[in-house]
Amino acid sequence: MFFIHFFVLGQTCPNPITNNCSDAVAGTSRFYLDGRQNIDFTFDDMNKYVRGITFSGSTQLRLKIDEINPGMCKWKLVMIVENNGHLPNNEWEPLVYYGGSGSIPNLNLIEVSVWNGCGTALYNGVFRTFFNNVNNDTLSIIPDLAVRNLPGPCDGTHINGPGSYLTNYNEFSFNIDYRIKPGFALRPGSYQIRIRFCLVEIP
Amino acid sequence: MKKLGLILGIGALSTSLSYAQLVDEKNVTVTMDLQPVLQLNMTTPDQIAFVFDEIREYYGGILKYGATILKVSSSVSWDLYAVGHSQNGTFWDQQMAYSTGGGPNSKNTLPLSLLELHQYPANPRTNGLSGTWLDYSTPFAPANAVVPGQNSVYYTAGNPYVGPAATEKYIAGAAGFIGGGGDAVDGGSFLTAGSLGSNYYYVLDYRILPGLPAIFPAAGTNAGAPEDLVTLFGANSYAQPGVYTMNVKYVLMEDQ
Repeated sequence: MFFIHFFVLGQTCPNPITNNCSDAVAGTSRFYLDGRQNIDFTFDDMNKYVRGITFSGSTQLRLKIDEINPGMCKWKLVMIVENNGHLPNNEWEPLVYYGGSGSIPNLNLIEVSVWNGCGTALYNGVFRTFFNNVNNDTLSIIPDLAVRNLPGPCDGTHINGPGSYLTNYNEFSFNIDYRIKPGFALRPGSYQIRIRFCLVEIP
Repeated sequence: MKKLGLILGIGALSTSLSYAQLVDEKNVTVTMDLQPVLQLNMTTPDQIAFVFDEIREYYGGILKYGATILKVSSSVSWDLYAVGHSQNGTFWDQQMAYSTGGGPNSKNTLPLSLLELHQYPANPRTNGLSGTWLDYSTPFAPANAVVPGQNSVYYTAGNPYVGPAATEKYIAGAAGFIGGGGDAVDGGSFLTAGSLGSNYYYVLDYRILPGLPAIFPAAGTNAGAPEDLVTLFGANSYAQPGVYTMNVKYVLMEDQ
Protein backbone atom coordinates (compact mmCIF):
# COMPACT_ATOMS: atom_id res chain seq x y z
CA MET A 1 0.00 0.00 0.00
CA PHE A 2 2.79 2.34 0.92
CA PHE A 3 4.57 1.43 -2.29
CA ILE A 4 1.52 2.22 -4.41
CA HIS A 5 1.06 5.54 -2.70
CA PHE A 6 4.70 6.40 -3.21
CA PHE A 7 4.54 5.38 -6.83
CA VAL A 8 1.58 7.64 -7.51
CA LEU A 9 3.31 10.54 -5.88
CA GLY A 10 6.42 9.85 -7.92
CA GLN A 11 4.42 10.27 -11.13
CA THR A 12 2.94 13.63 -10.20
CA CYS A 13 4.34 17.09 -9.78
CA PRO A 14 6.97 17.55 -7.07
CA ASN A 15 5.56 18.52 -3.69
CA PRO A 16 6.25 22.06 -2.57
CA ILE A 17 8.04 22.63 0.72
CA THR A 18 6.73 26.11 1.34
CA ASN A 19 3.29 27.57 1.98
CA ASN A 20 3.59 31.04 0.56
CA CYS A 21 1.16 30.87 -2.35
CA SER A 22 -2.51 30.09 -2.39
CA ASP A 23 -3.55 26.66 -3.56
CA ALA A 24 -4.82 26.40 -7.15
CA VAL A 25 -7.47 23.84 -6.25
CA ALA A 26 -8.96 24.76 -2.94
CA GLY A 27 -7.45 28.21 -2.70
CA THR A 28 -7.78 31.28 -4.86
CA SER A 29 -4.95 30.64 -7.32
CA ARG A 30 -5.94 29.17 -10.66
CA PHE A 31 -4.26 27.05 -13.31
CA TYR A 32 -6.19 26.54 -16.53
CA LEU A 33 -5.40 24.43 -19.57
CA ASP A 34 -7.32 25.27 -22.74
CA GLY A 35 -7.25 23.56 -26.08
CA ARG A 36 -7.23 19.95 -27.09
CA GLN A 37 -6.14 17.47 -24.48
CA ASN A 38 -5.40 14.93 -27.18
CA ILE A 39 -2.86 16.03 -29.73
CA ASP A 40 -3.06 13.64 -32.68
CA PHE A 41 -0.24 13.50 -35.19
CA THR A 42 -1.28 11.41 -38.18
CA PHE A 43 1.39 10.76 -40.78
CA ASP A 44 -0.49 9.38 -43.75
CA ASP A 45 1.23 10.86 -46.76
CA MET A 46 4.78 11.41 -47.80
CA ASN A 47 4.72 15.17 -47.57
CA LYS A 48 3.96 14.92 -43.86
CA TYR A 49 6.88 12.58 -43.39
CA VAL A 50 9.19 14.90 -45.29
CA ARG A 51 8.27 18.20 -43.69
CA GLY A 52 6.81 17.03 -40.38
CA ILE A 53 3.64 18.22 -38.69
CA THR A 54 3.38 21.29 -36.49
CA PHE A 55 0.44 22.19 -34.30
CA SER A 56 0.64 25.82 -33.27
CA GLY A 57 -0.98 27.03 -30.10
CA SER A 58 -2.70 23.72 -29.49
CA THR A 59 -2.43 24.18 -25.76
CA GLN A 60 -2.90 27.37 -23.79
CA LEU A 61 -2.06 27.75 -20.11
CA ARG A 62 -3.44 30.56 -17.98
CA LEU A 63 -2.26 31.29 -14.47
CA LYS A 64 -3.58 33.29 -11.56
CA ILE A 65 -1.20 33.23 -8.62
CA ASP A 66 -2.23 34.66 -5.28
CA GLU A 67 0.15 34.96 -2.38
CA ILE A 68 -0.49 34.16 1.24
CA ASN A 69 2.71 35.44 2.78
CA PRO A 70 3.38 38.86 1.29
CA GLY A 71 6.68 39.07 -0.54
CA MET A 72 7.32 35.34 -0.37
CA CYS A 73 5.26 33.64 -3.08
CA LYS A 74 7.36 32.31 -5.96
CA TRP A 75 6.67 29.52 -8.42
CA LYS A 76 7.98 27.51 -11.32
CA LEU A 77 6.29 25.87 -14.30
CA VAL A 78 7.68 22.74 -15.93
CA MET A 79 6.76 20.13 -18.52
CA ILE A 80 7.28 16.44 -17.85
CA VAL A 81 7.15 13.75 -20.53
CA GLU A 82 5.84 10.29 -19.66
CA ASN A 83 5.54 7.04 -21.59
CA ASN A 84 3.25 5.16 -19.20
CA GLY A 85 6.13 3.14 -17.83
CA HIS A 86 7.03 1.56 -21.17
CA LEU A 87 10.45 -0.01 -21.38
CA PRO A 88 12.99 0.86 -22.64
CA ASN A 89 12.26 4.11 -20.89
CA ASN A 90 13.46 6.28 -23.74
CA GLU A 91 10.72 5.20 -26.14
CA TRP A 92 7.14 6.18 -26.85
CA GLU A 93 4.52 3.72 -25.66
CA PRO A 94 3.45 1.57 -28.62
CA LEU A 95 -0.30 1.09 -28.96
CA VAL A 96 -0.33 -0.92 -32.16
CA TYR A 97 2.15 -1.77 -34.89
CA TYR A 98 1.36 -1.53 -38.61
CA GLY A 99 4.58 -3.07 -39.89
CA GLY A 100 7.66 -4.96 -38.91
CA SER A 101 10.59 -2.81 -39.91
CA GLY A 102 12.00 0.30 -38.30
CA SER A 103 12.70 1.49 -34.80
CA ILE A 104 10.42 2.72 -32.02
CA PRO A 105 10.34 6.51 -31.73
CA ASN A 106 12.32 8.02 -28.89
CA LEU A 107 10.93 10.49 -26.39
CA ASN A 108 13.17 13.23 -27.73
CA LEU A 109 11.32 13.07 -31.05
CA ILE A 110 8.64 15.53 -30.03
CA GLU A 111 9.55 19.21 -30.12
CA VAL A 112 7.77 21.70 -27.93
CA SER A 113 7.79 25.46 -28.12
CA VAL A 114 6.36 27.65 -25.36
CA TRP A 115 5.73 31.32 -25.85
CA ASN A 116 3.77 34.31 -24.70
CA GLY A 117 3.51 37.96 -25.60
CA CYS A 118 6.13 39.15 -23.15
CA GLY A 119 8.57 36.32 -23.76
CA THR A 120 8.62 35.22 -20.15
CA ALA A 121 9.03 31.53 -21.01
CA LEU A 122 12.45 29.98 -21.04
CA TYR A 123 13.60 29.82 -24.67
CA ASN A 124 10.44 31.66 -25.59
CA GLY A 125 9.13 30.50 -28.96
CA VAL A 126 12.01 28.12 -29.63
CA PHE A 127 11.33 24.46 -30.31
CA ARG A 128 13.07 22.22 -27.78
CA THR A 129 13.21 18.50 -27.19
CA PHE A 130 13.26 16.44 -24.04
CA PHE A 131 16.95 16.03 -24.65
CA ASN A 132 17.69 13.63 -21.78
CA ASN A 133 15.44 11.24 -23.68
CA VAL A 134 14.10 9.39 -20.67
CA ASN A 135 10.73 8.85 -19.03
CA ASN A 136 9.84 11.73 -16.67
CA ASP A 137 12.34 14.03 -18.34
CA THR A 138 11.62 17.68 -17.54
CA LEU A 139 11.73 20.93 -19.46
CA SER A 140 11.37 24.24 -17.69
CA ILE A 141 8.95 26.88 -18.83
CA ILE A 142 9.52 29.18 -15.87
CA PRO A 143 12.69 27.90 -14.18
CA ASP A 144 13.48 27.55 -10.49
CA LEU A 145 14.94 31.00 -9.91
CA ALA A 146 16.58 32.40 -6.80
CA VAL A 147 15.07 35.82 -7.41
CA ARG A 148 11.41 36.74 -7.45
CA ASN A 149 10.31 38.59 -10.57
CA LEU A 150 7.10 40.55 -10.34
CA PRO A 151 4.88 41.17 -13.36
CA GLY A 152 4.96 44.36 -15.33
CA PRO A 153 8.20 44.77 -17.28
CA CYS A 154 7.17 42.64 -20.26
CA ASP A 155 10.76 42.42 -21.40
CA GLY A 156 11.46 38.71 -21.40
CA THR A 157 12.01 38.47 -17.67
CA HIS A 158 10.89 35.11 -16.30
CA ILE A 159 7.98 36.30 -14.16
CA ASN A 160 7.54 34.02 -11.17
CA GLY A 161 5.77 36.12 -8.58
CA PRO A 162 2.08 36.62 -7.83
CA GLY A 163 -0.15 37.98 -10.55
CA SER A 164 -2.86 37.02 -12.94
CA TYR A 165 -3.62 36.50 -16.59
CA LEU A 166 -6.54 38.86 -15.97
CA THR A 167 -4.26 41.81 -15.37
CA ASN A 168 -1.01 40.73 -17.03
CA TYR A 169 -2.16 38.38 -19.73
CA ASN A 170 1.10 38.21 -21.65
CA GLU A 171 3.06 37.25 -18.54
CA PHE A 172 0.66 34.71 -17.06
CA SER A 173 -0.46 32.87 -20.15
CA PHE A 174 1.51 30.48 -22.29
CA ASN A 175 0.93 29.01 -25.73
CA ILE A 176 2.33 25.61 -26.57
CA ASP A 177 3.30 24.49 -30.08
CA TYR A 178 4.09 20.88 -30.89
CA ARG A 179 6.14 19.57 -33.79
CA ILE A 180 7.17 16.10 -34.93
CA LYS A 181 9.47 15.32 -37.83
CA PRO A 182 9.51 11.52 -37.90
CA GLY A 183 11.98 10.91 -40.70
CA PHE A 184 11.91 7.56 -42.45
CA ALA A 185 13.44 5.12 -39.99
CA LEU A 186 10.54 4.55 -37.59
CA ARG A 187 8.36 1.49 -37.34
CA PRO A 188 4.82 2.11 -38.57
CA GLY A 189 2.33 2.09 -35.77
CA SER A 190 0.44 4.17 -33.26
CA TYR A 191 2.32 5.54 -30.28
CA GLN A 192 1.48 7.65 -27.28
CA ILE A 193 3.08 9.86 -24.65
CA ARG A 194 1.74 12.24 -22.06
CA ILE A 195 3.02 15.69 -21.26
CA ARG A 196 2.33 17.05 -17.79
CA PHE A 197 2.40 20.73 -17.02
CA CYS A 198 3.33 21.25 -13.38
CA LEU A 199 2.85 24.47 -11.50
CA VAL A 200 4.65 24.37 -8.16
CA GLU A 201 5.56 27.02 -5.67
CA ILE A 202 9.21 27.19 -4.70
CA PRO A 203 11.12 28.63 -1.73
CA MET B 1 -10.09 13.94 25.68
CA LYS B 2 -7.33 16.53 25.65
CA LYS B 3 -5.23 14.20 23.49
CA LEU B 4 -8.10 13.78 21.04
CA GLY B 5 -8.54 17.54 20.83
CA LEU B 6 -4.82 17.97 20.23
CA ILE B 7 -4.85 15.39 17.45
CA LEU B 8 -7.88 16.99 15.81
CA GLY B 9 -6.18 20.36 16.10
CA ILE B 10 -3.03 19.07 14.37
CA GLY B 11 -5.16 17.47 11.71
CA ALA B 12 -6.99 20.68 11.07
CA LEU B 13 -3.70 22.57 10.94
CA SER B 14 -2.11 20.16 8.48
CA THR B 15 -5.17 20.31 6.25
CA SER B 16 -4.99 24.04 6.28
CA LEU B 17 -1.29 23.97 5.35
CA SER B 18 -1.93 21.52 2.56
CA TYR B 19 -4.54 23.76 0.93
CA ALA B 20 -2.16 26.70 1.19
CA GLN B 21 0.47 25.09 -0.97
CA LEU B 22 0.51 25.90 -4.65
CA VAL B 23 0.87 22.76 -6.72
CA ASP B 24 -1.26 21.78 -9.67
CA GLU B 25 -0.87 19.98 -12.94
CA LYS B 26 -2.57 19.67 -16.30
CA ASN B 27 -2.02 16.97 -18.89
CA VAL B 28 -2.15 16.54 -22.61
CA THR B 29 -1.89 13.24 -24.40
CA VAL B 30 0.09 13.12 -27.60
CA THR B 31 -0.70 10.36 -30.07
CA MET B 32 1.41 9.75 -33.12
CA ASP B 33 0.05 7.59 -35.91
CA LEU B 34 2.77 6.51 -38.29
CA GLN B 35 1.07 4.95 -41.27
CA PRO B 36 3.22 3.09 -43.78
CA VAL B 37 3.49 5.12 -46.95
CA LEU B 38 5.06 3.84 -50.15
CA GLN B 39 4.91 6.07 -53.20
CA LEU B 40 6.29 5.20 -56.59
CA ASN B 41 6.28 8.04 -59.07
CA MET B 42 6.83 6.86 -62.61
CA THR B 43 7.60 9.03 -65.58
CA THR B 44 7.05 7.05 -68.76
CA PRO B 45 4.94 6.96 -71.90
CA ASP B 46 1.72 5.01 -71.60
CA GLN B 47 3.02 2.69 -74.25
CA ILE B 48 6.58 2.09 -75.34
CA ALA B 49 6.40 1.07 -78.98
CA PHE B 50 9.08 -0.89 -80.74
CA VAL B 51 8.42 -0.81 -84.49
CA PHE B 52 10.71 -3.02 -86.54
CA ASP B 53 10.35 -1.87 -90.11
CA GLU B 54 13.96 -1.76 -91.24
CA ILE B 55 16.48 -4.53 -91.52
CA ARG B 56 19.08 -2.71 -89.40
CA GLU B 57 16.58 -2.59 -86.57
CA TYR B 58 16.31 -6.36 -86.65
CA TYR B 59 20.09 -6.68 -86.60
CA GLY B 60 20.92 -4.02 -84.06
CA GLY B 61 17.71 -3.92 -82.07
CA ILE B 62 15.84 -0.86 -80.87
CA LEU B 63 16.84 0.90 -77.67
CA LYS B 64 14.72 3.32 -75.68
CA TYR B 65 17.06 5.24 -73.45
CA GLY B 66 15.66 6.66 -70.25
CA ALA B 67 12.14 5.70 -71.26
CA THR B 68 11.11 5.18 -67.65
CA ILE B 69 12.15 7.08 -64.55
CA LEU B 70 11.18 5.69 -61.16
CA LYS B 71 11.14 7.93 -58.10
CA VAL B 72 10.56 6.39 -54.70
CA SER B 73 9.33 7.85 -51.43
CA SER B 74 8.75 5.50 -48.55
CA SER B 75 8.39 5.70 -44.81
CA VAL B 76 9.46 2.07 -44.43
CA SER B 77 12.22 -0.15 -45.77
CA TRP B 78 11.39 -1.30 -49.28
CA ASP B 79 12.17 -3.43 -52.31
CA LEU B 80 11.52 -2.59 -55.95
CA TYR B 81 11.28 -5.00 -58.84
CA ALA B 82 10.08 -5.20 -62.41
CA VAL B 83 7.93 -8.05 -63.60
CA GLY B 84 6.89 -8.93 -67.12
CA HIS B 85 3.29 -10.02 -67.41
CA SER B 86 0.77 -10.90 -70.11
CA GLN B 87 -2.50 -12.70 -70.68
CA ASN B 88 -0.65 -15.48 -72.43
CA GLY B 89 1.33 -16.99 -69.60
CA THR B 90 5.02 -16.42 -70.14
CA PHE B 91 4.58 -15.23 -73.74
CA TRP B 92 3.65 -11.94 -75.34
CA ASP B 93 0.03 -11.39 -76.32
CA GLN B 94 -0.35 -11.41 -80.07
CA GLN B 95 -2.84 -8.71 -81.02
CA MET B 96 -2.62 -9.17 -84.75
CA ALA B 97 -0.71 -11.27 -87.32
CA TYR B 98 0.56 -9.52 -90.46
CA SER B 99 0.53 -12.56 -92.67
CA THR B 100 -1.34 -15.76 -92.95
CA GLY B 101 1.17 -17.41 -90.75
CA GLY B 102 4.54 -16.84 -92.29
CA GLY B 103 5.14 -20.48 -92.87
CA PRO B 104 5.25 -23.55 -90.69
CA ASN B 105 8.27 -22.37 -88.69
CA SER B 106 6.89 -18.98 -87.71
CA LYS B 107 5.95 -18.71 -84.05
CA ASN B 108 3.57 -16.32 -82.37
CA THR B 109 4.66 -17.35 -78.89
CA LEU B 110 7.40 -14.89 -78.06
CA PRO B 111 8.94 -15.22 -74.59
CA LEU B 112 8.55 -12.27 -72.23
CA SER B 113 12.26 -12.50 -71.51
CA LEU B 114 13.07 -11.01 -74.91
CA LEU B 115 12.50 -7.59 -73.38
CA GLU B 116 15.73 -6.32 -71.91
CA LEU B 117 16.10 -3.65 -69.24
CA HIS B 118 19.02 -1.61 -68.10
CA GLN B 119 18.90 0.37 -64.87
CA TYR B 120 20.94 3.20 -63.42
CA PRO B 121 22.10 3.26 -60.66
CA ALA B 122 22.69 -0.32 -59.59
CA ASN B 123 20.79 -2.13 -56.87
CA PRO B 124 22.24 -0.77 -53.61
CA ARG B 125 21.05 -3.62 -51.36
CA THR B 126 21.68 -7.10 -52.74
CA ASN B 127 22.25 -9.22 -49.62
CA GLY B 128 20.54 -12.54 -50.07
CA LEU B 129 20.32 -12.45 -53.87
CA SER B 130 21.92 -15.45 -55.54
CA GLY B 131 21.10 -15.19 -59.24
CA THR B 132 23.65 -14.88 -62.00
CA TRP B 133 22.67 -11.24 -62.24
CA LEU B 134 21.41 -9.36 -59.19
CA ASP B 135 19.86 -6.44 -61.06
CA TYR B 136 19.65 -4.82 -64.48
CA SER B 137 22.72 -2.63 -64.12
CA THR B 138 24.93 -4.58 -66.55
CA PRO B 139 25.12 -2.67 -69.85
CA PHE B 140 23.40 -4.25 -72.82
CA ALA B 141 25.71 -6.68 -74.53
CA PRO B 142 26.55 -5.87 -78.19
CA ALA B 143 24.19 -7.36 -80.72
CA ASN B 144 26.93 -9.58 -82.09
CA ALA B 145 27.88 -10.94 -78.65
CA VAL B 146 24.66 -11.26 -76.70
CA VAL B 147 24.54 -12.87 -73.27
CA PRO B 148 21.18 -14.65 -72.92
CA GLY B 149 19.30 -13.61 -69.82
CA GLN B 150 21.74 -10.92 -68.74
CA ASN B 151 19.23 -8.10 -69.04
CA SER B 152 16.05 -10.09 -69.59
CA VAL B 153 13.11 -8.86 -67.60
CA TYR B 154 11.92 -11.06 -64.77
CA TYR B 155 8.56 -12.53 -65.66
CA THR B 156 5.96 -14.80 -64.19
CA ALA B 157 2.71 -16.38 -65.25
CA GLY B 158 1.60 -16.36 -61.64
CA ASN B 159 0.87 -13.53 -59.23
CA PRO B 160 3.06 -10.61 -60.27
CA TYR B 161 2.70 -9.02 -56.84
CA VAL B 162 4.62 -11.73 -55.10
CA GLY B 163 8.23 -10.71 -54.91
CA PRO B 164 10.67 -12.59 -57.13
CA ALA B 165 12.80 -15.36 -55.67
CA ALA B 166 16.33 -14.69 -54.54
CA THR B 167 17.58 -16.06 -57.84
CA GLU B 168 15.90 -13.27 -59.81
CA LYS B 169 16.75 -9.63 -60.44
CA TYR B 170 15.62 -6.74 -58.25
CA ILE B 171 15.96 -3.10 -59.16
CA ALA B 172 16.49 -2.30 -55.48
CA GLY B 173 16.50 -4.53 -52.44
CA ALA B 174 16.30 -8.29 -52.31
CA ALA B 175 13.99 -11.19 -51.70
CA GLY B 176 12.67 -11.94 -48.22
CA PHE B 177 13.52 -10.22 -44.99
CA ILE B 178 16.96 -10.57 -43.53
CA GLY B 179 17.17 -7.42 -41.43
CA GLY B 180 20.14 -5.26 -40.81
CA GLY B 181 19.46 -3.16 -43.86
CA GLY B 182 21.43 -5.24 -46.36
CA ASP B 183 18.43 -6.62 -48.19
CA ALA B 184 16.26 -3.53 -48.41
CA VAL B 185 16.56 0.15 -49.03
CA ASP B 186 15.90 2.24 -45.96
CA GLY B 187 12.91 4.52 -45.87
CA GLY B 188 13.50 7.87 -47.52
CA SER B 189 12.55 10.01 -50.45
CA PHE B 190 14.05 11.29 -53.66
CA LEU B 191 12.81 14.67 -52.45
CA THR B 192 15.45 14.78 -49.74
CA ALA B 193 18.01 12.21 -50.87
CA GLY B 194 18.69 13.81 -54.22
CA SER B 195 17.73 12.60 -57.64
CA LEU B 196 19.94 10.70 -60.07
CA GLY B 197 22.53 8.66 -58.23
CA SER B 198 20.56 8.28 -55.04
CA ASN B 199 18.89 5.09 -53.92
CA TYR B 200 15.47 6.62 -54.61
CA TYR B 201 15.73 7.50 -58.29
CA TYR B 202 16.19 5.01 -61.13
CA VAL B 203 16.41 5.42 -64.87
CA LEU B 204 15.37 2.47 -67.03
CA ASP B 205 16.41 1.77 -70.62
CA TYR B 206 14.68 -0.81 -72.80
CA ARG B 207 15.95 -2.94 -75.65
CA ILE B 208 14.45 -5.51 -77.95
CA LEU B 209 16.87 -7.33 -80.21
CA PRO B 210 15.11 -9.59 -82.74
CA GLY B 211 18.16 -10.58 -84.79
CA LEU B 212 17.81 -12.12 -88.22
CA PRO B 213 16.13 -14.46 -88.45
CA ALA B 214 14.03 -12.99 -85.65
CA ILE B 215 14.71 -15.41 -82.82
CA PHE B 216 15.53 -12.91 -80.07
CA PRO B 217 18.94 -14.27 -79.11
CA ALA B 218 19.24 -12.21 -75.91
CA ALA B 219 16.19 -13.79 -74.30
CA GLY B 220 17.00 -16.03 -71.38
CA THR B 221 16.49 -16.88 -67.76
CA ASN B 222 18.41 -15.27 -64.94
CA ALA B 223 20.47 -18.44 -64.73
CA GLY B 224 21.70 -17.79 -68.24
CA ALA B 225 19.62 -20.44 -70.01
CA PRO B 226 18.72 -19.24 -73.54
CA GLU B 227 15.07 -18.71 -74.39
CA ASP B 228 15.45 -17.73 -78.01
CA LEU B 229 12.87 -19.20 -80.41
CA VAL B 230 15.21 -21.85 -81.76
CA THR B 231 15.99 -23.09 -78.27
CA LEU B 232 12.32 -23.08 -77.35
CA PHE B 233 10.74 -24.39 -80.55
CA GLY B 234 13.46 -26.02 -82.58
CA ALA B 235 15.62 -25.23 -85.56
CA ASN B 236 14.45 -22.72 -88.17
CA SER B 237 11.86 -21.18 -85.87
CA TYR B 238 11.34 -17.44 -86.13
CA ALA B 239 8.86 -14.82 -85.00
CA GLN B 240 5.63 -14.42 -86.86
CA PRO B 241 5.18 -10.83 -88.09
CA GLY B 242 2.49 -9.05 -86.19
CA VAL B 243 1.62 -6.84 -83.27
CA TYR B 244 2.50 -8.06 -79.82
CA THR B 245 2.02 -6.53 -76.42
CA MET B 246 3.16 -7.22 -72.91
CA ASN B 247 2.97 -5.40 -69.62
CA VAL B 248 5.81 -4.44 -67.33
CA LYS B 249 4.81 -3.79 -63.75
CA TYR B 250 7.07 -1.95 -61.36
CA VAL B 251 6.24 -3.07 -57.87
CA LEU B 252 7.31 -1.21 -54.75
CA MET B 253 6.78 -3.25 -51.61
CA GLU B 254 7.62 -3.02 -47.95
CA ASP B 255 10.48 -5.28 -46.95
CA GLN B 256 9.11 -7.42 -44.18
